[in-house]
Amino acid sequence: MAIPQPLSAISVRGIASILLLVMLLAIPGETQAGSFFFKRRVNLPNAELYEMGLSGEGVSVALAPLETDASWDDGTLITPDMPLDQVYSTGRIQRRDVLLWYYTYNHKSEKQPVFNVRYRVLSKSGVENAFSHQKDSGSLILANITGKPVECEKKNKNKSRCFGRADLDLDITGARKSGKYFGTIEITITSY
Amino acid sequence: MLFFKSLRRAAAIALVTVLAANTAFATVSGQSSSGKAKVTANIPEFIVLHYYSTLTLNFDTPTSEALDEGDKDFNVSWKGEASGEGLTTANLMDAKLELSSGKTTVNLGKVWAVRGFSREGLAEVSITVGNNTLANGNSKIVMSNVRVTDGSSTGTSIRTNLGGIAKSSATFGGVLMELDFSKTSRSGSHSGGEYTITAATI
Repeated sequence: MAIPQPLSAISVRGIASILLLVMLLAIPGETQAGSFFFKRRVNLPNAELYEMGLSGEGVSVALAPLETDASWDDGTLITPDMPLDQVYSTGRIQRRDVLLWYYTYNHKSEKQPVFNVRYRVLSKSGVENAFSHQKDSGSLILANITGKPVECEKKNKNKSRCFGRADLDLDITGARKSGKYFGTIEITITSY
Repeated sequence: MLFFKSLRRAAAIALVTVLAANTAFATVSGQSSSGKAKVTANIPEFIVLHYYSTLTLNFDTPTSEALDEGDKDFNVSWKGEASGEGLTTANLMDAKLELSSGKTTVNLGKVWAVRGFSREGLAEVSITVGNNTLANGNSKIVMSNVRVTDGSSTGTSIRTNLGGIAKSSATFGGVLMELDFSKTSRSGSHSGGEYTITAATI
């Protein structure tokens, strides 16, 4: 025979159970930080001649007429140093907003971190702030890297993603050869 | 009594829940991560050829000379006819200026330069003669054996270093040619000779 329960006691237990269920659901299942993804390979867009102010791959530059004294005897004529025109407008090209890493996290369980990022560029041959030619380690492109402010955006209702981008300033005036140049960007991130 | 007991349990659970939630929203402090990205950049081929559009060579004026060819006896008849060998090509004395077969070799030092990028860091520089004759009326100077040189290689086509696009990295070269004055009879300007230099990346 069922013993009748006081109504107030049933209601209080029910409310407590519902409250408990709600609270349990509110507890996040994971309390871990998000995850970093580093791009293993970055292929910068090819340097184009127009970026140096050139319209074609071959340029002929005629100098002003030269008049020089000649000798009847065999020998080399004395010619002045050739005044070479600049030809190109710049030997520096830029690659902006190069994506190097991102951080994905659950914005419902983790607040947006603050990132302190350091970048270091090394050529394949070990020269700092440079990329080196695939076959000639002495042919270098000087590379200066500047980190951009980390930008974060919501990916979906739970996830957000923070992007690590950098600007690369390349000085190709020290390069000797066309073709591919290689290097490594080392990235160290401290997040708070 | 049961009401308060349930309420205490609920309150305790709620308190724990709040603490847990706060913990979950705190990020790990000073977390450090690192990675590496291999970067590739590509530089296009490019070559610049600098050259003089017009070259004028001013040959120095030969010193005027009067060469005493010595004594010579001639037999002269009473009719006025002289016999005996006068001056001949074979017995002319050398002047201060003597050209071998009427030719002289001219080495024009720095009259072209190349710079740029190529796959092998080399350029092929070649020269062709468009018009080999410099003329002043019927008087002619003929160019022949025209070659380019970078100091280490000489020929109608040579391979030379391409050191980059900077002016300080340019490779300079010259032009060698033989000038034949055997058909030259006039002083003054002889013009019309023409050569073409071509540079290509390798």
